[in-house]
Amino acid sequence: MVDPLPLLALAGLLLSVLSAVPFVRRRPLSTFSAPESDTLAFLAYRLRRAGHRVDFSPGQVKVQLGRSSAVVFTAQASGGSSRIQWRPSATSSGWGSVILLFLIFYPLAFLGPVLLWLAARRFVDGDLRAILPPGPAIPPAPGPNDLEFVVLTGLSEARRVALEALDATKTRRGESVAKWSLLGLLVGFVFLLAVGAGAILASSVPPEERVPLGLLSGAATAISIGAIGGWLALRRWRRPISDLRGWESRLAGALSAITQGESAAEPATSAFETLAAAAREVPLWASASRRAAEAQDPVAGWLPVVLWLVVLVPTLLMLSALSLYFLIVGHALALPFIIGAIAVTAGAVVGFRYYQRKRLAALKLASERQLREWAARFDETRIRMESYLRGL
Amino acid sequence: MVKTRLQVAANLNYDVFSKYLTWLEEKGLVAVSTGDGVPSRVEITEKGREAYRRLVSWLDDFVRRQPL
Repeated sequence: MVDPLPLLALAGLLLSVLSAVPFVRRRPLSTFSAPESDTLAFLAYRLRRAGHRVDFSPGQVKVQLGRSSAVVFTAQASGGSSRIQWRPSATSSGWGSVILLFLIFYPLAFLGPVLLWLAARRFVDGDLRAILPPGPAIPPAPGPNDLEFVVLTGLSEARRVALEALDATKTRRGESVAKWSLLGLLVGFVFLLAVGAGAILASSVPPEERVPLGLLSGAATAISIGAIGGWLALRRWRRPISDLRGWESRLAGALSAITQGESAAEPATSAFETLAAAAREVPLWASASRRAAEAQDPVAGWLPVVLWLVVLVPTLLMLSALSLYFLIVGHALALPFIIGAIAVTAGAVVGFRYYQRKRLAALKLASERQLREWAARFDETRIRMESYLRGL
Repeated sequence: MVKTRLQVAANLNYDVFSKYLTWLEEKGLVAVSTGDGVPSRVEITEKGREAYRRLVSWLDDFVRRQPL
């Protein structure tokens, strides 16, 4: 009888390969009687007006549909017209999840691309069809000489950058919580060795009960301190995330006031003022996204963490285990091992913090410089406009 | 453009709209024509067109050069 497991594994692999095909194959959407660049500009404008997260670069329009999925539109010349094509795509977080699924259990890895494809398909057949003209003729998209177009583009771009910064900040919060929880666990373990085990030895607990008692109290102490570390890290990121959410909502409100013509007696802040205020924040948001991207860079971000885990954690665990053993048997050798474990933990924490602070300080300097330059340009534009209006 | 239609397009209440329109008229950026039984009309002047072009061009230049 044939073993079904290898066949299932092979089928899973084949499905994974097949599920990748829609991501390289472009599917036709519509044909419009305008050059490619005008058609894509029109599409980007309509999508922005509909409040979507649009990244318009020469030759393509990318729309992010959620945290993971996206759709890419391109145009191909066809006679005097241009044919719009689409293909599903993913955000970096979406691709990361697909790769992770493949690494963990590849026979089911095809599910990731299938879900991404379904999200893209639903968008193209639903939301997109609703905002496209029914025929091949497209009205001319407003250009840079149109005030509404300029403000709408600026607000939409600012919102996209704010959302990218929000995603990046959430990712960094997750990493920070994981890092500080792990560090808390280790510190808790060492703390137990120094204080907890000594107390057990000094107590009247029989020697045969010391090992389970020591392990239980050790695990409880380590988990408690780990949880405290994670909670503190979570608190540290609450404010930046709430600020970014506030900005996103403010920009979305300003966009909807333009596109849906919400009645305003005299709005507290106009779309122009919101854009001007957001413009001051944009370098900070761009910097937050860059920091997150750098944290995922192997040399700058991952490598030190991996080295830390591979070299320091086993050393620490070995020292801790030996300390615990000598403590339980009541041998004097326990003391140097305890001191060694504390020294390694302290060294790891201090070294890691030093490295991180140094790296962040360099990034902060670059961001501050960019912010100064950007603020100067903003003031220059504002003063130029105000003095022109005063001189009329 | 008919004055009331402009007010609707600007999404402003009458008082605020009138304040802005008076300022624009004083600066010679728009001309308001009124007549018996005919709705008031607002027209952009050549000076207004030039001011619009300049302001939008500065704004566009600023928006396009965002440090993304």
